Order: sequence, then C-alpha cells, then structure tokens
Amino acid sequence: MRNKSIHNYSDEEIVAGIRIGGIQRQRMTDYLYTRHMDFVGKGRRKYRITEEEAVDAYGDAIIGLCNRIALDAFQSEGNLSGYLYRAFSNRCVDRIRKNTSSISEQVALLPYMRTDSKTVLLQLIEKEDLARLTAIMEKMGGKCRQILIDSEYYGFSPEELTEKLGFKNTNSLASQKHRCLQKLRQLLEKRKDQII
Amino acid sequence: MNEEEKIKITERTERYIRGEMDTQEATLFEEDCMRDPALNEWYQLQLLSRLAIWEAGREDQKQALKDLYYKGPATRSSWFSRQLRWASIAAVIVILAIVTGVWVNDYRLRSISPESLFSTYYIPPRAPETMAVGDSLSPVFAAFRKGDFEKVAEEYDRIVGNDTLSFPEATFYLGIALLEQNQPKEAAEVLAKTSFVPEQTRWYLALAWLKSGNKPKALQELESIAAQPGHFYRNKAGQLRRQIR
Repeated sequence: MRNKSIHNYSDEEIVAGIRIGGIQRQRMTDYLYTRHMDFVGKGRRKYRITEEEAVDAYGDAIIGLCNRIALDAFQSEGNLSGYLYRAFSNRCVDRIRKNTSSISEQVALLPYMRTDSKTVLLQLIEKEDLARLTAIMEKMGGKCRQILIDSEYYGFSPEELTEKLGFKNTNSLASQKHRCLQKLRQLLEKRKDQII
Repeated sequence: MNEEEKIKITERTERYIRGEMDTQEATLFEEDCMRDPALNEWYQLQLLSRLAIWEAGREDQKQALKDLYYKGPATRSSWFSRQLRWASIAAVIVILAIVTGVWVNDYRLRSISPESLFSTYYIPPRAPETMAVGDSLSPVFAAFRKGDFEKVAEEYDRIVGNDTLSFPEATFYLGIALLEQNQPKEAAEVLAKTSFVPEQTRWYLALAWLKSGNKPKALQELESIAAQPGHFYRNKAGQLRRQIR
C-alpha cells in the first residue's frame, strides 16, 4: 500500500488499512483525519462552539469511526465522509449539551472481548472511579505504556513493534510485554487496597 | 500462586475473554470463577487491565490527532479567522485603491519578494512514519525524521538510484530534503517526478519553483491547484497566486 501511486485512498482502502492494524491503521487514521479537517470549521460555525470543542468533537468522531471499522462494526450505506460528518455533528451537539461520551459506548467498542465479559466489565466500572483507573496507566513506565497501547490498542504486530521500539527480537518484546502486564495488574490490585 | 500458575491462569482467562473457548469450556470457566474467588478476581483484573489500556490508547490517539490538527503541514484550524483576516485586508486595499489608485495595490503586492512569500507559506510536511520490518526505505525516512537532509539524499541514491517511479514517497521526501538544504531548483525537478499524494506534492512543487525564482512555473502550479474544487491547498494557492502577481 505504501508505494502505491495514488491520488487519494478510496474508502475501501482506508477501511482495509485500519483493519490491518498497526502502522497501517495509524496512517489511514491520520489520512482520514487530515482529509476532512475542514469539518472543524463547519462545525464551529454551524453549532457556534469554540475551535477547541470542535477539534475535540472531530477527534472523538474519527476515533469512534476507526474503532468501529477495526471491530468490523462499521456499517454505512453511504460513504465514509458522510458517516463521519454525521458522527461529528452528533459530537458537536454533545458538546453543546455538555454530554460526555458514555463509558458503555467505549466498552462496547473494546475488541476481542465476548459480550458477557463486557457486561461484567460494565458492572465493575459502576463501582470504580474510571479516572483513577486510567490514571494507573500513567504510573507505568513510558516504554511499558507504549508497548501495551501499541499492541493492544493500535494492534501493532510483534514484528512491527520489535522494529519500532528497537527490541532484539520478538521474544524479548514478548517477555517485556508480559512483565508490563504483570506490573499493570499489580498497580490495579494496589489501587483496590488504597480504596479500602 | 507461583509464576507458572499465573501464566496458565492468565492464558486461560484471556482465551475466555477473547471468546476462544467452546460453550462447554466457557461454562466450566464460569463455574470455576464462581467457586474460586481468586480466579474470579484475576478475571476481573484482566478485564480492568484491558479497559485501562484501551482508554489510555484512546486518549493518546486523541492527543496525537489534535497535534496533527494544530501542527500539521496545512492545518485548517484557523481557516475562518484567516479568511476573515484576508477579507479585512482586501476591504482596506479596495478602499485605498479607490482613494489613491490601483497602482498602490500593485506596488504593495510586487514589493513582496519570492523568498519572503516562500517563508510565509512553507511549513515542512509531517515526517514519514516508521516503516514495517524489512522496509528497504527505512534509512531514507529515518534520516528525514532526524533532520539529516544530506543523509536523506545519500540513502536515496544508494537505495532508489534512478528508479524514482517505483518509490514515489521516498522521492517526495528527497524533494523536501533538497528544499530544506536550499536547493530549490533541484527540489522542483525531483518533486515534478513523483506522484506521491499529488495534492501535497504539487503544493510543495509550486513553493520550490517560487523559491528558485521561477515565477511562471510557480504560478502555473498554483493556478492548477486553485482551479480544483475541494483541493486541500486550494485557498492557500489562491492567496499565494494573488500575491505573486
């Protein structure tokens, strides 16, 4: 895909790239984001919101769309830009109404997770301070944080990640990732003690 | 729980979460969770870990996109304010032209040097991303990311040679590297050969011609861009074209 002589990526190519994950996903997300950045100005004028709010809404709409595509949950009869504009408009309206995106929506988009696990997770979050939970990731070392996010969120393959982060081979990456997950679990366990 | 047991439990829990167990095995896992509080807690921690990673990833990506918006090669962040500013300037110019004659306006526009216009409009493009494993062009892009533009040309010659058509992206960044090294004519000749993301390439080609002092060719490119509805650089091209004339 990289060396292709193209004028623009088609919707099909964007969807395919995002589903591949890793570097292709990042590249296609950035491309899609850049292609429709004029939505921000339109949203500002139409909904009379600040530039910051419009940029925020636009980022949410792009991420939501890309996550839906990655999850194979994207269904639209129209083209990507039409879907994106509708999603962006909804996010702008949310900003006016001061709504924040619901956590149930985020959980629904978690990939590779059976539905009943998502239900359990939603029940767990009811008892949790979500901000505290996500702040735990900030306590992870920079490299650990990056390994976990790149592999679990962006879907980088072990080979891509080994190259990107400069590991000797995929085995040393896997060991490091295992240690990082252990560390994350420990921090999550400690969090519970702190709550009590 | 020793290390080996932890790994086994993690793998089992992960298989359950991912939906990789058949009904019988999944039911057994659920029953074990009900019987064994330690396993149940492990399972819950695993779910929370995934959510924590996912949320952190989402926040990171959102910030990266914001950076792209505010620092990107051709941000449209202030499109409206730019339009407003230019409209105000245009209005002032019209009034001045009525009062003092059109020649004042012409004189003002002609007094802006190509070099100064180039500096106003030139924003370096975003550096290329890390390439996949084994990508032969990695040294070219790595040199570009480091800002070592001399090395970009060396690596390009070594890897691509004359096969410019097969490597449009590398050719584009070679053109930008030459522009950065104050070799605008050479940059324009290289950029004219690549078809990589044409909207972007044609814009930088116009800037390269402008910097090299070749106004006719710069105007030709800018007119072509300004004539394309929906072109990413259409407004900028229109503005720059008017200022060159």
